[in-house]
Amino acid sequence: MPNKHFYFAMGAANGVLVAYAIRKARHWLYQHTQWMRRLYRWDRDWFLYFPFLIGLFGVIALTPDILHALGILPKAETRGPVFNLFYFHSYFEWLENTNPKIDWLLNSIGSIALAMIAIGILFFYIAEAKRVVQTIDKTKKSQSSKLKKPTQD
Amino acid sequence: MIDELKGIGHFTIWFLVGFLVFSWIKPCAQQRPKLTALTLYAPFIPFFLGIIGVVPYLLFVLGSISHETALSGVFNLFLFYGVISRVEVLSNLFSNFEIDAVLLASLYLYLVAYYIDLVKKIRAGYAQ
Repeated sequence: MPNKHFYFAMGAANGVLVAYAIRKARHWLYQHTQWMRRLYRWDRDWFLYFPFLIGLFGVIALTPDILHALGILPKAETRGPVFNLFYFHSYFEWLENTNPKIDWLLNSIGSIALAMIAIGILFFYIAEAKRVVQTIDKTKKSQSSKLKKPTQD
Repeated sequence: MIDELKGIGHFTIWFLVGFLVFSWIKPCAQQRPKLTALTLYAPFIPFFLGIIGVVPYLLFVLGSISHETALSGVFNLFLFYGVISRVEVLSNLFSNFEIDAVLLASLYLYLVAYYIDLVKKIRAGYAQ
């Protein structure tokens, strides 16, 4: 049976794409939607919290397993076709149960994807910290050059 | 019966050790007024130690070395891989995948919180 981290990684990868799309479209969303303006009012650095969105997508991908673990549905039902909506959960379960090599391969892909996402998020924060410092430095420089500028009279 | 310590167990042990090192140097990193390599890259220490500690397991899984070779003396250079595999207490504590995953996720969330705090502090303090 495949490990849960593969499904979590699939959801997280989807979460990364959604977070990236929101970041790219933030100016348009700010102009056209109320919720984005509310988000900016709540915290101008709202995007720093995006890993929680990625985690949420990961948890959504685990929905069939969570339903089974909570005793809401039996395991056989969580392998039904309808649960393919959760990142092809049932299809992957069948695939992995019938072929151990694919099971190993998908688990390895899941581990690598999770490691890349986890480390990638930390690099994003480093880039963000550097960007903030640069922006502040630029603002300071432009302010000091305005003050030093000699008057024409 | 004692479960064998797998790759995630080794990774979790060394990630935890790296996290303790990070926690120890964190106050020093935060005292600096400007961004330094220590401030920015300290949260990578757990990943760095975790990855080194799991190298023999990865070589074994990829088929480059046998299980016995991975446990042999030379591979103890990778943060005492062979020694750790034989310690019963560690095997009992870290051989459960779910517990390891929850522990790693909790520590990782702490690292994310550190970066969020860092960026906010830079914006608030560095601007003055």
